[in-house]
Amino acid sequence: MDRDIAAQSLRGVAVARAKVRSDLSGLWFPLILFGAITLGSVPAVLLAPGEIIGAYWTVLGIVGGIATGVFYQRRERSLGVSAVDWPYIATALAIMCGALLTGWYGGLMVLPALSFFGPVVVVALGYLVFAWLERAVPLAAMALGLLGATAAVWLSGIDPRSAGLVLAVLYGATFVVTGVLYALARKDA
Amino acid sequence: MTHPSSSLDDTVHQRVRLGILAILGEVRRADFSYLRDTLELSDGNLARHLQVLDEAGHVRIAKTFEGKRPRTWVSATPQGRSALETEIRSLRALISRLGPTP
Repeated sequence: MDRDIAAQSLRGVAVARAKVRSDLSGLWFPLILFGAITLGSVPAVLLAPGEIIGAYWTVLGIVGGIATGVFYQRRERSLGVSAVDWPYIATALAIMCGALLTGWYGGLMVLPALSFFGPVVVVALGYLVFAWLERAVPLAAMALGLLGATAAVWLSGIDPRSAGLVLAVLYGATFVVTGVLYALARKDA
Repeated sequence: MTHPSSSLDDTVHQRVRLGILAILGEVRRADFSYLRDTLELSDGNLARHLQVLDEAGHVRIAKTFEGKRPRTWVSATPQGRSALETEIRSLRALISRLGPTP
């Protein structure tokens, strides 16, 4: 067999895979939704005790997860192609449980640093997994940027509650902006 | 040592069938129209290639109804996914064995 024909076959596989990934990608929706939910948590971080923040995320995390599931299901039905969804569901559940557990454990053990920084680190790591699943370099850059910003806020030595507030605004705004950029890129494609 | 081309499977190696498996390898299932439009094939051409893959056990075809509208869903079987990976490995081995184009 000719080398060029073999290379052409491999290129064909790569192009087909990239096309399917691009068709299936709907990152803009969960990014904008969870960005808005994160920004909505700012008053709770400012005013309310830890239990209220935990309840806020339990309720809106589930609502957001269900809305995202419905969005992808409707999209897949109209496109005629369904993603292998269990890695996404497992990652979303791991983010939700990991964030709630670190927040709860930090509160229980009176470790404010853990209760404010733990959940956001879990969320950023979760988005790194999503980036790997989607082979999405911009999403990986966003997640790494958020991890770097989290480390910078931690090292700055500001009190954990103020740090939690800064990070809620930073994460929420970054999710919304990245989601809007994804939506615009999709519209232009 | 066997030549890498000896591990190429004729059922999978054909350009259109390789394209079908490449798409199905990325997803849980795809419908007939999606495969036809993505690979720019006619209905008859796609149906023939799907039949070959189905007979070889590489894909599973399910005909369903959504309301009154019929829909044909196609998914890769574990055997089909494994055949695709073997094909890709063989193509890579072949390219590296034959070296760069002069």
